[in-house]
Parts: sequence; C-alpha cells; structure tokens
Amino acid sequence: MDQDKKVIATEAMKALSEIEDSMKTESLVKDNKIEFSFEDIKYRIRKPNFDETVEIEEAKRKKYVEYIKDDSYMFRKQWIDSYKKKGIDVEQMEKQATNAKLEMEQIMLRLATSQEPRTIQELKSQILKLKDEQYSVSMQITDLLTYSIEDQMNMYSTSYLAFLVFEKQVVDKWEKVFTNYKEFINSSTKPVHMALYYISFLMYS
Amino acid sequence: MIESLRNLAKSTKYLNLYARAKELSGIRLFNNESDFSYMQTLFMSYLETYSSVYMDLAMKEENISQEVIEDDIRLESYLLWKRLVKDKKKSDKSDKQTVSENALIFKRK
Repeated sequence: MDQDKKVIATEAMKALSEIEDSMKTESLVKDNKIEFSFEDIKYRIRKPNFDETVEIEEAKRKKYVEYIKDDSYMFRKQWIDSYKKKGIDVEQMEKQATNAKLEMEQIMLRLATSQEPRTIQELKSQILKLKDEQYSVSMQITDLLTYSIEDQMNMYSTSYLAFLVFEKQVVDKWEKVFTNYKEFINSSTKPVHMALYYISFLMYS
Repeated sequence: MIESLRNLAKSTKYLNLYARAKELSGIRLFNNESDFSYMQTLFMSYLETYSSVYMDLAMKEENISQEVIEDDIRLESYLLWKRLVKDKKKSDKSDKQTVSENALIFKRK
C-alpha cells in the first residue's frame, strides 16, 4: 500500500512538473518580450527598436576596429593555422563532425522505413551515438575558437543588445536598468545573468 | 527548452488553436502581431511540422504512425525521408509537355 502511495506521489510530481514546464515555455512564446521577477522587481527584455539596432551596429563597428588593431586578437582562420602548428587540426575535426552528420542522415533514412522493433532500437541507438559524437566535436571546436574575433564579436553584440533592451518596471513605466554598457558588464547580479540567458530566445544568433 | 517547445507545439491545445488561427482571422497565437521573436518563429515552424505530420497520419501516408510522431528521433527521420525521398519522387515525375510546332505563334521560317 505504501509502495502504491509512493508511485502515485511520484507520478503526480512528474505531472505537476510537466505542467509547470509547459506554462513556463508558454510564457516565453506568448509575446516578443520576456518578463521575469527577482526580489519583487519586475524586469523584462524585448526586441530592439530601429534606433537601438543602429546603435548596436555602431558599437559593433567600433569594437571590430579595436579588435583589428590589437595584435593579440586573431581571426578564426589564424587560430586554426596556429593550432595546426601545435598538432591540433580543427579543419579535420570539422570534417569529422560533418561526416558524423552525413552518416547519421543515412541511418535516419533507414530508420524512417523500418518497422521491426529490434531494428528500430538498434538504429536509434546508432543515431544517438553519432549525435553525441557530433555534439562533442562541435563543443571542442567552439572551445578552441572561443577567443577568435568572430566569436568575441558575437558575445559583444549579444551583451550590448541585452544592455540596451533590459528594463525594469518602475510604478507603471518600464525604464532601462543600466544607463551605460560599462555599468551593465560590470554588474554580476542574477537579473543580468537572466537577461543574458533570455536574450537568445528573442533574437536569432 | 527546445524539447519543451516541441511538446507545447504538439499539444492538442496548440494544434487546435493553430488550425483555427489559419481559418479564422480573429484568433491569434501571440500577443504581438508582428516582429516575432526567435522562439515564436521556431514555435510556429514546430506547429507547422506537427500539423503537417498529423495530416499525413490522417491521409494514411506511408511510414507515419502515432508511435513515430511521439518519438522525436523517429519523427526527425520521417521528416528527412519525406524531404529527400518522398517529395523528390513527386517532383521527378515528368510533367513535361511538348508543344507542337503548329501551336507556336512565331514559327520559324
């Protein structure tokens, strides 16, 4: 009897968790703004308006010039060449990821037309293995090239965008949380981390 | 998050809303009518995908079943097969029409 109660309780918790998850996801798609609360303050991030888009492009252009002038910053290609001299072949790793993807697609085509349960399970597990391999190699490449000018520019433009569209509710109005980018980037509060997390849900990278 | 989005897109509630929103102009899926976010665009593409596979299921198309729809890997495989094999077969079928010389307005001299 106790065991039955435990099973029912576990199932109920799982169902509640699924409902909560569904409601949270719904709140992220229902609007093109994302609101969240922290310590009784309501925050939001939204899509940038035209003026803000122009401001982001100008900030990116200035940052890009900074990176170009600084010899310690290298482009992706330069990093790849440097790694090759140290025996790390990033291009080969990229080929490995592509080959895993192509092999996976061939197995997926076989899975699509399979009816036999054992074959289906076997093909699914082969696909999962290849997905893991592809993901693992992609993560390695990302880590190796994270300091490239291209990746640094991506991070800069995401964080600058987050600074521009990050607002808090003051009485009935929405106001910018930070007056300048330096203040935003030097703040390591939870709302800032949440803003940086949610910005990727609003914008295409 | 992507998995949650897919689960939401294949829910009865949103598939029905999506079908009604396509038919009736007064029904909206989102608070905003334009300037959609990345999540909203992704969600719409999942809605379209699930709506399309349920249509395939209703039409008794080959290689699709409720079991396939509920299994993300099998569903992805089905969609890939549909795109590369099934739809390619349809477009390869020859619809060439030849026009006889008599039908030409500007005939060669």
